[in-house]
Amino acid sequence: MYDWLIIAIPVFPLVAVLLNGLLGSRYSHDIAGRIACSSVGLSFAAALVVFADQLQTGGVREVIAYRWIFGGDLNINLAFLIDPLSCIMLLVVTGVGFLIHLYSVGYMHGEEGFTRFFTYMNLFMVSMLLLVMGNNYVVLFIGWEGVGLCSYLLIGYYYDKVSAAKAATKAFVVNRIGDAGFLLAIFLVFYNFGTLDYTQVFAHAGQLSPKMATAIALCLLVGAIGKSAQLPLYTWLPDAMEGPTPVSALIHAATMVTAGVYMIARNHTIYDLSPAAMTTVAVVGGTTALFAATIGLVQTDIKRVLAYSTVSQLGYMFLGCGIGAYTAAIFHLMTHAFFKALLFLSAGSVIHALGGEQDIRKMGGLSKKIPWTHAVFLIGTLAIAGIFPLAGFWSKDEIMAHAFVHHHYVLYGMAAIGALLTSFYMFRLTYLTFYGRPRMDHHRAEHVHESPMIMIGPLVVLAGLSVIGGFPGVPPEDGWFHHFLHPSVAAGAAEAHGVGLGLVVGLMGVATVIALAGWGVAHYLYSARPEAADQLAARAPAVYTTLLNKYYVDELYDRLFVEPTKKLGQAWDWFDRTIIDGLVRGVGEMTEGGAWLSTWIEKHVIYAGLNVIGYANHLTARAWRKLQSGMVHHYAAIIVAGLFILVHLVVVWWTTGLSGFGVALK
Amino acid sequence: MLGYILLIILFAPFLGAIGLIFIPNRQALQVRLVAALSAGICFVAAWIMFFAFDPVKGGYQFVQRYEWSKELGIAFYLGVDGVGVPLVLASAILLFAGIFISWHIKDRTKEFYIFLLILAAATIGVFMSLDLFFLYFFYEMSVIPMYLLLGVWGSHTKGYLAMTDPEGLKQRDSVGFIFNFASNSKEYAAMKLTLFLSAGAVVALMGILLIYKLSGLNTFDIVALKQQAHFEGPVGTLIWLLIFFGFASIAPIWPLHSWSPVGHAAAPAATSMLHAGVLMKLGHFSIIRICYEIMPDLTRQLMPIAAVLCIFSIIYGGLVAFYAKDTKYVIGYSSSSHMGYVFLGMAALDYISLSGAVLYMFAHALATGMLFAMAGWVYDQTHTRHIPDLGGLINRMPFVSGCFIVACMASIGMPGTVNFIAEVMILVGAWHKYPFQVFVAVVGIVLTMGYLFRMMRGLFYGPMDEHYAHAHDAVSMVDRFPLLLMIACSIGFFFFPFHFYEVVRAGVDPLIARITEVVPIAQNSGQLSAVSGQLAEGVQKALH
Repeated sequence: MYDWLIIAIPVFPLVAVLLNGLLGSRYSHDIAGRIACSSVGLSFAAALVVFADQLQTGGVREVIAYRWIFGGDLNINLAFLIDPLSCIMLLVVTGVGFLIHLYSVGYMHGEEGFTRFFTYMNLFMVSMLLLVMGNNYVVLFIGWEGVGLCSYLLIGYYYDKVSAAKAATKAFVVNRIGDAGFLLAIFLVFYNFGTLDYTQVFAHAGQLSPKMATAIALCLLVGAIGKSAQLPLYTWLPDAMEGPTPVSALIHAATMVTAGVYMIARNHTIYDLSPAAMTTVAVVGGTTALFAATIGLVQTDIKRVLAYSTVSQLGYMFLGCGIGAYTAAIFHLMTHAFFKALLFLSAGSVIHALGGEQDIRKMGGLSKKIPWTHAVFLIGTLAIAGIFPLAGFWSKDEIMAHAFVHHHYVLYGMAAIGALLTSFYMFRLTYLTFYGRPRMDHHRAEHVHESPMIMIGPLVVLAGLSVIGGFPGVPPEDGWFHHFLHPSVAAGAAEAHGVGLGLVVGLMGVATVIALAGWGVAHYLYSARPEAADQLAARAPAVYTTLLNKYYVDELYDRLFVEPTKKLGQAWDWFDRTIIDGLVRGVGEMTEGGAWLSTWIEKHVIYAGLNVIGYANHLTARAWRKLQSGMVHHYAAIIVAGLFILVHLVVVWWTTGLSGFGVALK
Repeated sequence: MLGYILLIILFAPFLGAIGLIFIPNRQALQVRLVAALSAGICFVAAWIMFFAFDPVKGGYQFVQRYEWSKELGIAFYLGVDGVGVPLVLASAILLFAGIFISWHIKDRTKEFYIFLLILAAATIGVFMSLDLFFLYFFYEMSVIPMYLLLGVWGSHTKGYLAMTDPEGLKQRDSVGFIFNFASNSKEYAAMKLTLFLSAGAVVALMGILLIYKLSGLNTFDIVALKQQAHFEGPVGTLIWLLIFFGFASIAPIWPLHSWSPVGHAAAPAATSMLHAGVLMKLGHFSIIRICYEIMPDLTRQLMPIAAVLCIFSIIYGGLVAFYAKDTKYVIGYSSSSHMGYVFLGMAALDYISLSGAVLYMFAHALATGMLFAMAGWVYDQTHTRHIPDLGGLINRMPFVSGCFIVACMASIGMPGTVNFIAEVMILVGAWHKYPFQVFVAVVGIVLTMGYLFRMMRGLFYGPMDEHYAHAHDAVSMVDRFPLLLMIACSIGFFFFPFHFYEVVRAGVDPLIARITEVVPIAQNSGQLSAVSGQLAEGVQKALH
């Protein structure tokens, strides 16, 4: 009964894409915005119904929307899989997406490319929904590429900015490197199973040899690393902040970048077969969580701080997946979507208020002027820092606790230090933006204004979600969320049960202390003694510069990959021009030499010979001229003689074929 | 009516070309309309053929046979199978689009269209020929108009101006000029292309004549040769190699590719489209038609050659494209890189991968056709193809840049375009046999994306140069139609691949079954075949 409703979820935004994309220029921005928002709103409503149904009935539902390629050995359908995991993803994507769409109407108001913006945003929603709803790898990949494309288009939204165009290209190329891994994984899966449907693949996953399982898992991981901006492919995400802020919130914080986490959780059956791959995932995640957090410490662009924070938080999710805490990872994915969307959108509100200023060194003292934005940003900061009892506290703590309980102490240590840094840089950001003395120029300061209601509204809702978003997962390991998600990502032994209450509470206490410590340090450095931060930076200039320059990773990649590729291209271009063309030229020159030789022969042998012949001819002609006597009987005699010879020839041919002349046609 | 569909497709452009002879050049509009009409007939007929092709029946359809010379065993023998149908369709689409792309050519309009029509008709002829003699005849016929189209209507690539000093001008008429390989003139490109292709054709001709001589059947009939002739041993290998390398030079396989980027770069837009779109596929098609059909055993033994060379094509072409600074060179090298994928699909000798290769030829024809069409547009508007000189054109030409993005997406095999299906099918199918090659090919996809997006960024994004303030977008329907047509086909076949897929499978399955002696997995409950068959039946009925 709900089949058509499930299919309708991605169809709503698709209709909006077609309407706005094809007819958008015919009607006003208002109408375009309404179409875009209501389509996502309808998707959200449909997702809620599907979710309610899932709550009641449970189980897994597969819906074939469209039979695509089928026949013989290749069967691929556009089909959807509705299970608890995709339900959660659906709600996050459509819910947060809806709020961000509403916000965008205010944020993008008056932009020339308003309709284009919403067309891309809706196209993104379609792709993202395909990604999370697909029941096979091809649909997943189609969505996967689709979101990458929309990300490219939206990062490059301000196309006349060179930096935006570069960032867009970089994002797409780096993503594609990851996608190459994903494609290989798809080939491996097809090679091993002969099908690409999740249900069949996972049902038979047990037959995989450990090596093959590792290979598939690692290839998938490469794809996930690219999409979710993990080490070493994270460099595109901070640059992607060139796009409009709602894009950063929707694509580069709440939804698209979490696709990698979703994919790993979806493929947990394969990952569970390969401890090596699991460890890799965990190590990648843990390292990224720490590494990105350190860069976040010193960045001065409000959106870039948030971008590195996103990379770092995604690291936590990977860490969660890697240690088998899939539920915790998805839980963190959900709460992160709430508070990071909130942070980005309120950062957008700050930028909006300041007329485009993004440098936090030129902010400060905004708390009075934009109180709503200040309040929600503070809630977001508290949530991400992991202050009890906001959303981030529960989800982050669960991942860390899981690491500790399962004796991954190094990973736990990394995550704990990362949490300390997160708390620090987030409060640093808050202090620099909202408190202290205003550092913008006078002209800007006068024009600071609170954002319109359509932007504040979604912010308040997201703030509410950031506060209460953690409660479905309470108590840890045993909350409603865990029970709901259990059928999708039941990871067998890896899921923890029966951990002592004391240990749980103790770990929570440690997490709280860490978060408060970060807050305290930030307070000391940026509020109590504002000059201390600069002194600290001055004391360790090498560390500071390295961090500020993001460990020079971009430069390193340029040296390692981009330049050599160009060089190789250049070398082969040379090879083409000299060696291959040289060979051809050799042939050419030989021909030319031959031509010269022939000409010489022509002149000195043939012409000369011909001249001799010609002269002889001349002489003969003089003799033969006598034949042209003009007398009829002479001619008659010649005709008769000629006929005689001709008839003879014909007769010989007739009787013997041409062989009579020694010619064989066959 | 349906029985003669191939004749209509083949002779509509020929008759159009003949008709054009009688129209004076000053009536340019009439010239264009006649060209468009004949290409339109060809286009419509090709679609009818596509839908009327019955994949359930398979085999060669719409067969026409007229004896030409009994003694020599030559017949004018036409017919298409599942491999030929998509390529005929692609040729017809590109010809029709190309007519509109060249709408603004003012220099000797009539002659241009005559040669364009002959070029397309000859190409279509190859895809339909079931007789080796006519296959070769049409093949050679397609090279000659190329020479003229390049030499007369082409454009010099960068660096040519440097050599038009008095001495250089003097050189232009000498023999030395033809072989002056440092030059960038269109005449050089035309000469190089013609020499390369003719040399390849001669090699292939030797192979064809050997087949004719040694089969003992005294016939050029491919169907008869397929059923009765048998080649093996060193002589068979020699024949196979002659045919393969003869035709692979037009495909073009590395290292026989160097004519192609130059040729593409110098050619006018519509010619590049046809050239990269379908002319290069003559190579693959002829190899499938001759090597796969007549010499299945040798193909099984020798096709690994292609599997080795294709890696070079893919990576090498990709890297050079990465370095190239001329838009058409980038697209040209990308084409020669992408032809490596077709060879990979062919070499794997797998049901899925060979179907993918055929599909890829079609998909690539559309994608590369779009790219060349738009590179031509940009060149017409800015008079340069040097990427570093360009930028910010999206401000002046939003429509063209939008289409360009779609074309790039198609070229890199984004889902949403038929290229995606083709690419995935090739790689999925080839994996079990050539995992390393597939890996390389996947790296090649990343490369493709890198250079195409660099080019796109260089052309359209960033601040606009003052020089190009006068550049125009494609506004009129005549300018937009061909781009929209190709985009519609590329996207349409992504969403509705079934008939296409069935047609291709109908052609590929018997080939692979013969070569590998692996029985194809039974068609999936025949459900799709039924749909497709009904479609074919419906079209046939409607025409009766």
